[in-house]
Amino acid sequence: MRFAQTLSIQRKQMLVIMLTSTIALLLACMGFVAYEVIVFRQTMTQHLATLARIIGDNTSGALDFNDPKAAQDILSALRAEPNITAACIYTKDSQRFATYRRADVITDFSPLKMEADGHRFADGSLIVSHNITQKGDPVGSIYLQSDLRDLPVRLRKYISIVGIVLCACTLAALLLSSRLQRLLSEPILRLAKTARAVAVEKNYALRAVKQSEDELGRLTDDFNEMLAQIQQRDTALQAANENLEKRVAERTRELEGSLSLLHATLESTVDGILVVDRAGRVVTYNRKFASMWAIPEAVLASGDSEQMMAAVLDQLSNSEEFLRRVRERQARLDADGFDLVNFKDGRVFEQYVQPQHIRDEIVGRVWNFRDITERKRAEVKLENLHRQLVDTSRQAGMAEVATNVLHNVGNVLNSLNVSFAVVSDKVRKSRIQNLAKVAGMLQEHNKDLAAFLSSDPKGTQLPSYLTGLAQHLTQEQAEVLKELQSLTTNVDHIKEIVAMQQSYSKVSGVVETLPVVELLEDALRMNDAALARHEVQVVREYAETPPVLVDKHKVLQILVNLIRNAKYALDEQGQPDKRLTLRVSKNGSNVVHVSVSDNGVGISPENLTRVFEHGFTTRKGGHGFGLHSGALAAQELGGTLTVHSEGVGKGATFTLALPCPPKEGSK
Amino acid sequence: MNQGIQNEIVPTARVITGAAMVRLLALVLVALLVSCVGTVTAAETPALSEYQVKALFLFNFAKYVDWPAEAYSSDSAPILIGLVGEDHFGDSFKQVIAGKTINGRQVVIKHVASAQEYKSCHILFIGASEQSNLSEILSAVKGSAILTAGETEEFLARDGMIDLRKKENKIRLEINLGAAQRANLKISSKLLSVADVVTGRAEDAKVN
Repeated sequence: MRFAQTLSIQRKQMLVIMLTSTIALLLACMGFVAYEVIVFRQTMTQHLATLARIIGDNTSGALDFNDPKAAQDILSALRAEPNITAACIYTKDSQRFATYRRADVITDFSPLKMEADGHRFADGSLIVSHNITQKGDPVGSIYLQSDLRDLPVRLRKYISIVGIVLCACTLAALLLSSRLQRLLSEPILRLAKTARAVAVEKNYALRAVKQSEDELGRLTDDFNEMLAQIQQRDTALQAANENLEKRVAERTRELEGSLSLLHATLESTVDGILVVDRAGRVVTYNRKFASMWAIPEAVLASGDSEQMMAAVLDQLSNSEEFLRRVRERQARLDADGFDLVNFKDGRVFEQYVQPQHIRDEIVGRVWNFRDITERKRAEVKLENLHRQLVDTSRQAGMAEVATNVLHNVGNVLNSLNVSFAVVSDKVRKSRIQNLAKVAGMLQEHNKDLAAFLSSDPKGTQLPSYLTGLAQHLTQEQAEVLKELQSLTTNVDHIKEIVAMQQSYSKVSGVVETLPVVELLEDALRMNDAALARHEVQVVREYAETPPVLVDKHKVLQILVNLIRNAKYALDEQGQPDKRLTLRVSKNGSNVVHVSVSDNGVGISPENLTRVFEHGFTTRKGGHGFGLHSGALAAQELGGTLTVHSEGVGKGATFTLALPCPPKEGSK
Repeated sequence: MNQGIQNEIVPTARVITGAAMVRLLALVLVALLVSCVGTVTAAETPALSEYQVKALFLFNFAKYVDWPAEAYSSDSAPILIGLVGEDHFGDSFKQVIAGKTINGRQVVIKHVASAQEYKSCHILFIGASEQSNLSEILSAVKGSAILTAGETEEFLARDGMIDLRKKENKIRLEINLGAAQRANLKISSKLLSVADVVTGRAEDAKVN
């Protein structure tokens, strides 16, 4: 059947039809011939059996009455049957009674004993037996032998008929099938032609022509449908392809851009960069890396990080340590790392290592080396500089402290001066000389003291004068004492300032829980004289507040500063109604506000933000230090110092917010 | 099968194959054996005596002669063969009739002496010893459907029906067909065909 595979479908179809019809016909003919043969044999057997019966019946008398001649005569009549080769009659005692042979037969006919009325085909002949009876009584038997000469003659005739029929039928089938096979093969061939055209031209717009409504028609429809789908997909695919190509081109451009950017970045960076995959193969590195480590070209070309490492080891001051660190880093792929690498020639590298991720997977490690030799040197220099600076600043700080101290002390000294002038004035103007005069007068009249006192006009007035003088002196003493008291307070304040300034250089001073009003009054008192001198009206608006947890001297210093600033502001304004308002209020549960307001010159908006800067001042002869140190101190106390002013000429309010201790600690 | 057909179609130009040869040999052997057995059987069968043959013939007559229905008392009534005169048969009949029937009827052999007995028979054999009484006996059964058989020369002339006489060492049959027909008996042509002489045909023609 292999040869059939190369045949065209037409030929195959023809072949199938012809083969089928011929074999069917042949089988039918064979059946027909076989049937004919069987029928022929049956007919022959039947004919022979009839003959045997007739002859047997006719010879029964001869047998019964032992007349072989008569039997022989009857058998001789078989000459009329040319096919019968021999015949023979036996008596019932199986003795040969009569025989007959065709003239051309020479052999003796002695058939095998057979069942009654049987037949047997043997050796190209047919033998038939018949038992002869007369009125139910067996009298003998007859055997007839016939040749089968007619069979081959007939068979030959049949075969020639079969041959003719076969030839005629085959010819007819050939003619019919060659025409009819087109019904099947033509649509298939057409379909195949279309398919071929589609395959060769790649033209999916082609369609096969439908010719029938059978399976082939459906096949054509399906084929066309398939083509339509392919065409559709082809179009979509082409569009997608073009789109894809465009996108690929875009991406490529972008990628090229980012790649060149990467390269440029990689090369332009001052760091040496080495990227290694998980297996230790070098993925990429920049020139800087190669030059930093002075790695030979050959080793670079090898792409093996181990070789690179081996090449640089002897440059290092502690290569074993370096190796150990690197191994540690290599062992932990996912961890970042940072090391310092020291070279024998004094160079120092920073070495960063971090994993390289692609999505969530670690694909390698990025080693980053930075030559920090210069920085290290600079650092050393900087440190020296810093030390110097620290020294300098310490001195500067001390100066600042000194300024502060002097400023505060100067302020107090002002009051002290005033008190002192008052006292000395009072003492100078004291009526104490009058007392000396009275004492001299009394000394003069020592002998006649009584007379003097009673008679002398001066003497008589003396007691009343003394009384008046005593009264005056007492008053004077009280005034002086009061001034002295103020002096003492001011001196104490100076002491406190000095002590405070000493403690200022420490981390913090002594923190106490104090009523804020007391502190405010203290501060007011320190400026008492100045305020009195400038006829400033002091308004107190104190609310009930819990004590604050503060360093007393710091707060005092801030408040003194604020009051003095207010006084200056009022002074500068020069208006008759000078008012200083002191307010204490509670803001929230644990903050106390202390505000100092004046209706003086005020602060311009642009200066509002600058008033706390160091060295900022609007006052002639001011240091620009007071508010700065005040703000700093407030911060140290855990509070704030803020300013508010509506503008120039509209006064200003400074508010110091101070923390209260928690309620448990307030008791 | 093809081979078999071929064998049968073309017996002249036969190619003897191995299997065919074996078959042929077997056939020849069997044929030989059978023919041997045949000869042995023939040799063992002794030549029959005159009366044995006559007994057989008398029995066989019953097969070739049709009696009118009245001749039998019933459907199963036996066929009676009566023997008159000196008995030369001995045991001959015993062998001949043993277990045999003719058209379902048994055959019975009987010695008869009176006219009454004669008439009860279907076949009456009159022996040579009764030559003197022949006319008497024949006239006694005349008109009855009884097949008469004799063994004397004048038997047919005396209106006997079948004469069995030994001639040239063989039992010859002579039949008087006219007498049989007068007795209303039908004798088969097969019997007539083996008879040496048949008389009474012309007379028959004359009568008709």
